[in-house]
Amino acid sequence: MHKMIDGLLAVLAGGAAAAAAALAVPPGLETVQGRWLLVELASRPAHPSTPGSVPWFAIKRQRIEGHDGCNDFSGNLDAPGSIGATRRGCAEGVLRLPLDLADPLPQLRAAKVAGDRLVVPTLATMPGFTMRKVP
Amino acid sequence: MSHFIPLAATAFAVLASATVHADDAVVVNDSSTRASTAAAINISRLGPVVNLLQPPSTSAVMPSTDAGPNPAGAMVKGGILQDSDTRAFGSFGIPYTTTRVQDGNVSAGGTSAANHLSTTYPYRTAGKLTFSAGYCSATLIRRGVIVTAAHCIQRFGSGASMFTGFQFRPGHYGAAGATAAQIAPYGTWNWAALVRPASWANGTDIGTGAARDNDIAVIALARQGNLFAGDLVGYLGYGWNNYSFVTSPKTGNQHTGAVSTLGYPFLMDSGAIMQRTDGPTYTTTLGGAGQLWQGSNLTGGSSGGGWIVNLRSRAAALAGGAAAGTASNIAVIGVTSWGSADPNAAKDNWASQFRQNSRYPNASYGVYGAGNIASLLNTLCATAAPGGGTFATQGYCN
Repeated sequence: MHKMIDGLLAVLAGGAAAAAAALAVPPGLETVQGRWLLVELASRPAHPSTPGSVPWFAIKRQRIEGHDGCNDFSGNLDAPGSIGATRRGCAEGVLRLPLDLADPLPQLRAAKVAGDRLVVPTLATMPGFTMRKVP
Repeated sequence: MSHFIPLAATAFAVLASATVHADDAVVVNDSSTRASTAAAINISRLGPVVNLLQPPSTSAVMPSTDAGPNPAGAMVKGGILQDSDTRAFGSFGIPYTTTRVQDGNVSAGGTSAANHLSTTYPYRTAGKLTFSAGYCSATLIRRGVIVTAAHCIQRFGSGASMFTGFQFRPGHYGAAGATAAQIAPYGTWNWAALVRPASWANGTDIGTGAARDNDIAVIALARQGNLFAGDLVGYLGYGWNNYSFVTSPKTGNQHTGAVSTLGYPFLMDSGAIMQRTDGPTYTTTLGGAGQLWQGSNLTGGSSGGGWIVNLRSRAAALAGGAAAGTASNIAVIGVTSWGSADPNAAKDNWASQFRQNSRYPNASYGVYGAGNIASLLNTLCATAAPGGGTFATQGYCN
């Protein structure tokens, strides 16, 4: 039971950073590697209601972490449902990252990089948005 | 070895103690005692009883359907309600049950207030904590001190940048149409001081991703005149280092506890009504962080809510040699920290466990016990308070 639980825990929490870092970049995610900050949502400039709460994410190989505008999240991209997040209740009207954290891969694979911008198209119920690459 | 700080002597806290309930059981009306004894003797002389009366027809009897939402599986006029939540267990197969902290159907006389149950002890020690970036859940663990999650104070590693405007409403009920008295049945309490781990503020706390060793914070609530929040609602004790957990071959050699979790998850009743999840809970480590793990569907908004062992309203009066057993006190042993970002995937929640760890190794932080929770309280209570003295000397930490 210990071994089973330990293995599953590693998946849920994204596993040890060192283990994740050793893994290859999943196909289709080569261009989205790096740290990105939300600058445009549904073709409009993104303005957070609270300073310091601008949504962002960082992708390193198959690991993603970030802030959705309300909660912090982290996990692995190759296992849908594996991304964990804090459990804050969100203020009304807060600017949220329109990334489906249940399975972000389809949106990320559909994204295009143009200069320092990452343009994620509208997909299913999620509106399109643009991220800017930051150091 | 596990430990526990007991409930201190407020009127409501004392009401909840098993000792007092035992005393209550001794105070018996003499006349009723005699009557009961006589009845027992008579019954002992009787053989099996055959009821000659035919049972009444129940064909026309239907359950009440006017009491609001019923849980799945309840028998109502149209039949048994089907389960709308088809995964009543965590992704790893840990079962749980979640319910509103709300009375069931109205009584035959129609006498039930929507927020009655959440205003009773021990539920009313829990409440909603609002602040500039949203809200969390929290629990009173001292006369004027609540415990919540550190990420409800500030984002991990954000230094001196904290959320602002912390307010606590114990026993909050905010469903549509709620009155002011239901929204804040015991008032609204502003924060006076808080302590969160330095390792949380500077981003060095042990762990990985959202799982951290010390996602815990304590907040002193400003008293109102001479009144503390705990004077109105009571408060809970707290335990650390696996208090009330057991490990044996029967639990798969896992540290296992029976834990109830309270909070205000937004995806249930829009975060307006207190929810309670009960289920077996395990200790584990993630990236070196000591964690409690429970099957749960409490989502965003439940952060900071207490993970409580032995949660009960009234203890039965024991007789015939029955004993309560060890580690049977109500105690908060952690607070909700994180869970899956997908509410329909892994139905598991995690808490930073109250315990000694590398950041808080001491076995004794003043009178407050050991480990992270005790250190945070010790620091808060030793802090100079407005008006002179410390928060401890002013009575916040009783």
